[in-house]
Amino acid sequence: MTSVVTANAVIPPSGDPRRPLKWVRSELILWRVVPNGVLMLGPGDAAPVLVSGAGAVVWALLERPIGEAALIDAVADELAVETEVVKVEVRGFIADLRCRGFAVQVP
Amino acid sequence: MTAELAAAVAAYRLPGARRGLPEKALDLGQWSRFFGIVCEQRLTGLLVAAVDDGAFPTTVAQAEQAAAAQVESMHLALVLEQLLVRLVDGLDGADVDYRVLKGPAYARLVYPDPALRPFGDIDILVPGDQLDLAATVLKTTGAWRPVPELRPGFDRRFGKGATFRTAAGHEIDLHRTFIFGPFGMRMRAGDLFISADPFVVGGRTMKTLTAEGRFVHACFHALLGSPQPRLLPMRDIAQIASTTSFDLGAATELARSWRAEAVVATAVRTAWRILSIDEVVEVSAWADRYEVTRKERQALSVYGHGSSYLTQAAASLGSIHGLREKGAFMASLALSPVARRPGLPRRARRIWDGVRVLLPGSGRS
Repeated sequence: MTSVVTANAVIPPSGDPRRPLKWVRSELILWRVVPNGVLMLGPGDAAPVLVSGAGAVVWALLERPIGEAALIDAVADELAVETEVVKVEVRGFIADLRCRGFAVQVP
Repeated sequence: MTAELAAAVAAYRLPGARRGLPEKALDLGQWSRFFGIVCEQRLTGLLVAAVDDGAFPTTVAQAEQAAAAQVESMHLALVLEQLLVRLVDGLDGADVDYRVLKGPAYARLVYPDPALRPFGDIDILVPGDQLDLAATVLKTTGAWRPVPELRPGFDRRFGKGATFRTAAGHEIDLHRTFIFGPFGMRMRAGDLFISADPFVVGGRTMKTLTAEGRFVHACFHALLGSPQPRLLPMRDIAQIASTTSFDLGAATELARSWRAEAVVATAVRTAWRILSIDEVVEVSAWADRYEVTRKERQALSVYGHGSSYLTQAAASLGSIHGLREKGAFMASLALSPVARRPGLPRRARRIWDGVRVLLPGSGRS
């Protein structure tokens, strides 16, 4: 069965504030775009998870390294809402992706 | 009508494909039959693409059903890719050369979006002399072999390969050749290990056939892999021929050296006919020009509808070199349980009878 990623965790501050790290997809993750989102499977996962809605937008943006602030702006742009509306969601989602090994930080 | 519609979906987005998609949503009965074919033929990716593009009108329920089937199909593809990464790690660790065949390689190298090319198993080609070692590697990953080898050494000398299953029920086909039967015996699989194309799955670079090898294999699989041509393998041929670049001269030379040009030409013609493609490309023009001889037609016929393993085995004899090899091949079949099946085709029965006469102490049962 496919489960749905839900994340409310808040990302802890990390890295050098003068040179903030960027987020990018982990190359180890297997994934496919499907009609209602993105299916993802990590190397040790028992089954794929389905990421939908804003999560699928974030995943598309993580194709290339992107800083957190830029990511939040881009998601807000894509969904045509205020940055404040998506900030917590995006941070939580990124934290979840990091926990699962789906996204990594690069300089 | 629904079969033609499934063929139209199989041809969706191909240049020159003239089969029309419906102008309005299918009624319940039509949809049910059509959707059954789409799922069975692994065309959900292409159907969803057509629905998303607005080219295939559906009801909301039909669109949801197609989407759900595609998610299921991609779920399986990801799980199989995860398995593939483990297998390739194992093969590399044991110094076994390999080429990943079909689905995972086509999805990433031949189609613009891997979601368009689902697959239901893993196929890996290994050199014949490394088949046993590769089988050992597979067993260490927990895979097992449901059908035992006919006779020790049969697979690496004469067989197409061996099928394994994982505990989760996934199938892994370890190939020595593309196919059993005369065309499998004629091919020199070693040619396919001279070079390779890389592709990446889950961060791991793995090897598949070169573009020319992929094209020839697609033709073998689509034409000879099942008695009734399946739509997705036909699409593979057209997708490779129409949208990827490869050296046709090198591909036909490879086929010629295996005496298998008729396979390639007939497969291309069949794909163009089934998918109703108008566009003439270099490959289809060559296929149209190629004249299949009576002998080639005969060899192709053993893969047709109603043909059996033993019929193909009987037809293979002419392609096996040397009396000793022929004898070993026949002896293996004589001891095979498949040879004892009732209702064998007459030609196969004659071969079988001949084998028993050759074997000391093999009286008639």
